[in-house]
Amino acid sequence: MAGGWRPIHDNHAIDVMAAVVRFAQPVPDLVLKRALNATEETAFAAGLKSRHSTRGLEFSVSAGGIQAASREDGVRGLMFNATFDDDPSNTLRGTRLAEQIQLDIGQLIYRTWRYVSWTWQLQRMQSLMRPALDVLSGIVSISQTRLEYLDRFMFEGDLAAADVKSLLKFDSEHIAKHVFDATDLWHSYTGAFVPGAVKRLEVVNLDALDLPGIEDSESTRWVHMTTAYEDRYNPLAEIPVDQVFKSFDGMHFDLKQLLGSLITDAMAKRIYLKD
Amino acid sequence: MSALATTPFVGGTFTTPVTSDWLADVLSRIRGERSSIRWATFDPSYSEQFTPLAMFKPRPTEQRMSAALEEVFTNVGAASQSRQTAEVKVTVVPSTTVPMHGERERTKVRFRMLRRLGPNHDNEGAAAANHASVDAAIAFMDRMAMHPLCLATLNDDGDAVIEFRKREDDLFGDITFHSGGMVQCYSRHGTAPSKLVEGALGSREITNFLQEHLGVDYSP
Repeated sequence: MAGGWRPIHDNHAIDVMAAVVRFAQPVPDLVLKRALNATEETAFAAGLKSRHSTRGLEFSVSAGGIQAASREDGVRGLMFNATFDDDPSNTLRGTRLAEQIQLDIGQLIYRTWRYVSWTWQLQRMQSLMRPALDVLSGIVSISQTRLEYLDRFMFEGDLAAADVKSLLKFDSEHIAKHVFDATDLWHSYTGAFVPGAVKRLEVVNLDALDLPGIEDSESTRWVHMTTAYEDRYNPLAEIPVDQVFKSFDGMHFDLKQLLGSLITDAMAKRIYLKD
Repeated sequence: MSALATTPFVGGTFTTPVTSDWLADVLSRIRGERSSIRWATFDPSYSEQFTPLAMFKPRPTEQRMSAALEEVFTNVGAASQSRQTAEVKVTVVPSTTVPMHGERERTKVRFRMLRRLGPNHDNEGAAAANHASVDAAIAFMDRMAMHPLCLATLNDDGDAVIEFRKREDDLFGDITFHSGGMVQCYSRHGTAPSKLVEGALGSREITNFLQEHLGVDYSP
């Protein structure tokens, strides 16, 4: 059997989606506490009940080199997680994250491993991210918004036949040409600022990976495709909270086009990217 | 810096004593796609009687895993028959893999397919798929546990419906997803009168109904 590429899910390829808001200044402690309280309320109600603190790292640069030290002076941030399996009697499997909201002194991040649809996710992001953004609005400015996807494709069949030409577009300007002849593993990372009203970074990181199966079994070939857009703002400008979500909405539309420029039309059809 | 690379590695191998009760639990998890033994595809024709190995049809690329599977289930099968314990090695799949062929995944796949249906897709005047309703059903699938066999479909209004069947309990039920987070839940148990309730998904009334009448644990 020659084999072929298949998306991680039968009709879509998204493994993880992340939406990131980065702040231009560190969030002051009292404000952070208020924003965390607001986030906790909505996160808990939305089923993200597992609470973890995030520790900050401080880097000091001197003639002696760079030193990193963990900050112990209070909570630097929290993340609230939902997992796929809450059954405590399931001794077979460790915890697999399903959804996460994270807030610390420098950023607010929403991640999901159970992508539903963009309309659904945008509403979900608004409900989980807005409480913190409303608290922080006017106190710290936003320096970046970023939306990124990890799409994953697995090769089924004889590894020797794992030709990425049936997965990736040969004429894509975002893919380094060496990957089409490679028989071993490879990376292809490209990125550039694209023209537009906002300073926007476009990122296309592709990796061929052999991931382990079960013990003693041979590994499986995957292609991971991380695509992202990142809008960068003047730190002195005030970005309204609504603008953050409009920015994500625009990025999502553009990321669909971007993914369509990377994968073959047949695969795009299979994952419902194209009719 | 990417915000994606945060998935913790949760793989590992451990040895566990196995009893027939444990085995029954494993099988129910496999059917519910909640097991780490994710390469096993469940044959729908399988009856409720336990038959080691015979119930699995490894996919072509999963053949290499079948030896390990056979070892586990041969040992477990012996333990099951004698109602004694056996030591088996269970490998927990790292989080870099995801369930691909389980019932839950298949139901979501079908909903994603149904979501694309336009008006009159059945040639009998059915409405186009209600995207918000189908999205709510897909989201629901990842937030429920201990579910009986379920099936994804649309009603004539284009709303998503999950049907539940549990043959051993002679149970049939369904959940219809309406706009604004509202659902209608129905259950019929044998010859007993059917039960119907409407409300907001996540409300106490609906959560209790799902648990008591459909055997579904839902966590928003």
